[in-house]
Amino acid sequence: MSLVQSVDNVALLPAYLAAGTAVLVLLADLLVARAAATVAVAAAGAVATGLGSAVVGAGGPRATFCVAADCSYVYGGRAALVGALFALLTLGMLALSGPALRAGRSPVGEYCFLLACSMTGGVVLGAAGDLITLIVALETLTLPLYVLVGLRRGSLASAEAAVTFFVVSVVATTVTLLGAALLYAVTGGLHLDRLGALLAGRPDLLDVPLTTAAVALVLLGLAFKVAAVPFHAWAPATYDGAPLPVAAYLSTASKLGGVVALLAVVQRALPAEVTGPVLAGLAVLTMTVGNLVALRQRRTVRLLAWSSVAQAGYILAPLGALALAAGRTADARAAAYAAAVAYTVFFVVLELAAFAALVALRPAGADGGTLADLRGAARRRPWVAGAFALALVGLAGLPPGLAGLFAKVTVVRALLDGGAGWLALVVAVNAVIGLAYYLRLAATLYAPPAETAGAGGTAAPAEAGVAAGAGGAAGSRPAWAVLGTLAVATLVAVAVGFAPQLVLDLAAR
Amino acid sequence: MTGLLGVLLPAVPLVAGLVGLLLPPVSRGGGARAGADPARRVAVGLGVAGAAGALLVAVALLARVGASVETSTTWVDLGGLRVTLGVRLDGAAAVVAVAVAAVALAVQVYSVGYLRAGPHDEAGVDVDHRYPPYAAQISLFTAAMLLVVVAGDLVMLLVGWEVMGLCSYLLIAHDRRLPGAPAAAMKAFLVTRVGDVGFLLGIALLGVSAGSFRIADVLAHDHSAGTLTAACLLLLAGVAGKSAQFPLHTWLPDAMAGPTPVSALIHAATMVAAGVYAVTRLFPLFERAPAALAVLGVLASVTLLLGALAATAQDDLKRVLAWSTVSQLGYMTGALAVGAPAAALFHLLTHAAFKALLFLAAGAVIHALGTPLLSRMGGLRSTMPVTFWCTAVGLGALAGVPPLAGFWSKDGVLAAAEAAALDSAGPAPAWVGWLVWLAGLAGVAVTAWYATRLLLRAFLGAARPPLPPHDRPIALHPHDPPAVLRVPMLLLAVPAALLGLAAFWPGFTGRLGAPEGEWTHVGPALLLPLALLVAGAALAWAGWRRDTAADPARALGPLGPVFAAGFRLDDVQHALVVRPVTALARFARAADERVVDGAVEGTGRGATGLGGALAGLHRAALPRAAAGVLAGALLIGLAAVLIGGVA
Repeated sequence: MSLVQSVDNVALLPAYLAAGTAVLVLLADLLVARAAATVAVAAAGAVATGLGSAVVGAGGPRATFCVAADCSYVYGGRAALVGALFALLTLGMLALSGPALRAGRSPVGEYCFLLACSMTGGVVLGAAGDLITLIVALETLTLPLYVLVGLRRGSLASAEAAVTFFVVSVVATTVTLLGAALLYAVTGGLHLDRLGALLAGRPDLLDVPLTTAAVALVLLGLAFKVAAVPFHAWAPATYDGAPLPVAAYLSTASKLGGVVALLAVVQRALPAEVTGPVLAGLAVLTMTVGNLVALRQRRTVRLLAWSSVAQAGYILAPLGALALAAGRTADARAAAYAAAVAYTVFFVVLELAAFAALVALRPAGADGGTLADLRGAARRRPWVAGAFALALVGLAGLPPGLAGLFAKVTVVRALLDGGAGWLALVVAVNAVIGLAYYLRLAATLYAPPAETAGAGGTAAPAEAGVAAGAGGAAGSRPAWAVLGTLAVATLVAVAVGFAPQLVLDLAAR
Repeated sequence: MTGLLGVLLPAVPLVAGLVGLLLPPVSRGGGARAGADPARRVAVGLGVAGAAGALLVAVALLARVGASVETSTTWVDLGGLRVTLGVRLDGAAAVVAVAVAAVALAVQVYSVGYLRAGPHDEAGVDVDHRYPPYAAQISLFTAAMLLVVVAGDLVMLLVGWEVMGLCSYLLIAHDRRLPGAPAAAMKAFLVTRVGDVGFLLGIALLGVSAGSFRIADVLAHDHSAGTLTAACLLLLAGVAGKSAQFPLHTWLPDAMAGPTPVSALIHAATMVAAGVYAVTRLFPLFERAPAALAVLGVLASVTLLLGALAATAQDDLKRVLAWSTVSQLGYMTGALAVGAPAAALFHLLTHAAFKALLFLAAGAVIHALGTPLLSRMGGLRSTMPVTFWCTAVGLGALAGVPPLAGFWSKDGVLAAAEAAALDSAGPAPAWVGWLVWLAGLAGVAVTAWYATRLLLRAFLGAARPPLPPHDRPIALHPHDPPAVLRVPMLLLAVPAALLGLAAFWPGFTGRLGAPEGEWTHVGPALLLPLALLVAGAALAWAGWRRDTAADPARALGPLGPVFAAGFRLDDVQHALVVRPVTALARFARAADERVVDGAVEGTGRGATGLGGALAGLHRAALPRAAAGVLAGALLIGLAAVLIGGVA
């Protein structure tokens, strides 16, 4: 057996591009030492990564790092989609970060480098073919975020958020690794497809309690990444403490990574008999707790954080249909996976639009503020507020936010096809609860401004420094990059709202 | 051409009404001096032009119409049910249309003078009569009635029928100064609405049974006996509502809260006539449903006597007239019940003439005195001679004094009832004929009594001093109204006096569809009602002679207040219908507020409370959060192992 493998470098090209971006950013920051150049390099790298993903993905599936038939790196259509999405999200995040970076509250070089590293993890994640690659990619995606969350200079909340995020994340990773180790102990395999074949071929393995425990632990560890209850406690505090663009990245890219990882193990490796009930339980808990707590939030980012917890529940819900025998037929499974992917895409687009609008409405470098700070926003910036309202209505799943409506319909249809009517009912009830806070936030935008609107900064005394710094910027137009991101996200949301079949077809592949 | 005239007939006042609604409703600038407001002038022009145009069209139609003319185009076709737009014109429709348009024109002209700043408005206080919407609503009212008259389809008829209900509501409530007006309007609307539900169901039943709503198709279809009886009874409910038949008559006396010209319109030409007219229109159906006719006969007899007796004790001039309308409507429906629709239509026409005249005359009296109370009148003959003679003609026609109009038409009704009673000539059983005939004869006497009383109390005897609130010089010197009020009165006095003689003109009776010579048999049968008439009038006169200052109604003794209150049917209605319904409404409201709202708000509060509790749990420090994650993993893992292991 030769110790030298032939490596398919074409398949690895997107990963090379992403990693190269990180290195180039570091070099540019060191040698050119100009913020604009650094950001430009990072943006160019993100574009190159996205293009590379698409081009390589278009060329048919490729695999490398193979042992016999099992490959650790499989670059297919879904990997290309995930890679391109991560690249686009990174690009959007760079655009959203523009004002904050210009305000000098974070070091530009480090910020862009960490973002590029995270993107690398995301690109590799889509192609991961075994549990080790999967977990390492996921950690590569997450690790830079600990630092990014805490990168705001002189903010205690930021540091606290970073520590919470870090500790809870480590615990979760431990749980996943423990599960993977146990799984290896039971089956002797780590490759996803091999695990799937092993578990399907030997039903007696399922009778061993250790198998069930291992499967559950892997799932629960990954559930942390999508902030599913009960592994969600980090999310609100972290989102709120992080700079707004990072919170946006956490709730879109990081969540997308979690969903990709979960789907990979659920679809390819783990037995549906065990994952189904666990996921169904997680989905119900996540939706319900997320929506209920979101009802009481008074801070905008916390509200969005809790709502994204609830949204994770909707993403998990179709997978919960696997709990029933009717949901484990080939058709129903395909529909459930497609629904989860489609919902994720719709959610990511809408969430990005919502965060972009929030960044545009807030002063440069400020945090999310309270709901009251947003009163009367529609008078000041009718277009931005309109886009925000559209995104919120879409997240709530109402027309005219057709994208969100179709997303919910897809989920409910998959559940009904899978015979999980009760879960569909839970989704519906939660959607109703969700209306309450989404519409209240949307209505706040159009409410008459508060008496103290002129001194918006005084509403948050802790932000006195920010308010002083942003006082001049509060009335000025938001950066064009932010508006561009918002416009693109809104246009995409409207487009997929009118042509949802595009996303549904893509998700079914 | 005839069909076009039929379409134009309701269209002309409809356009006038709709355009009139566009005018500014309230005169601007506060200076509401009559004639100074351009909107008012335009409204006057529109209203009069609309009514006059309708009258011209109706007369042209009357001249042209021969046999029944039908035009129709399909409007919608709903799963085997055809709704058409079309007119159905015959002699009766043309004659009624002329009557409606003529009364409407008289009312429009009269209103110009009646609704202006009058002598009894407080000096210096400009009363805004909101003339433009008023005139427009009268035009719409007329248009709706004309639509009912010419409609060739039951759905169109229903449209006109309902628009009338709406217009009556608006017009009765027109006078904002009267505290009772809104309540009276609401009552009229609700009571007629109760009947309208039956009417709607009846139309639906007929339409479904015949597969078409076209009147010709419905009449030609061979309905099953049960369907026909049910449909006719349901239609009768609507007829009772609109034509103020017992037990749905209670709205009519209260509707006196409306301006007097509106009362004239409602009582003479539009609202109450619609019910009777609708039955004559569909009479071939009723002929085949004797049970429905029997019910109608009973209702008619009760209504006839009830109205007449209630009219005897009223102190309000307009309420006397209102109750007399109820009574006269009883004659009309009685004629229908004994199978004489032509007699009913004839009485409808003469009644339209003399009742419009009476109301306009009453308006003139009220206009001059500022009070509608008989106990405040007296001796007006010398000061208001024109009004006196007009009222005398009207009351004579009402009581049936030969040769005035009412005599001939009432005789026609009584003759038909007599024939039905003695010879079983009608489609209904003979006992219905007896009932209607006897009630009609009794009604003649009572009518004569209250008509005489009204004339004596208001116009003869000594002038009574006005009440302190009306203590103004002008009231002490009542006078005949100005020409704009007087001319419509005088013109209406002509048909009120002479229309009865049309019974001798074959062209007229033929158009109404009456058999040759039905109403012209002058003979011994006429003596009985005449004797009763003289007896009734003499009794009233005798009672008044004894004390010209006192009310002849005191002879009624303890029955007086009962009659005055309309047999306390309002109280009965209040106890049996209004109070249970409001109690039910209170209950439903309480159930909605406590149970439904409570459940909804409870879930809302529960959800936010739960959210708050959960949020409280999440305000934890880092160690507890980490412990929570581990505990969650442990619990779910254990659950998966235990439950999954068993499965």
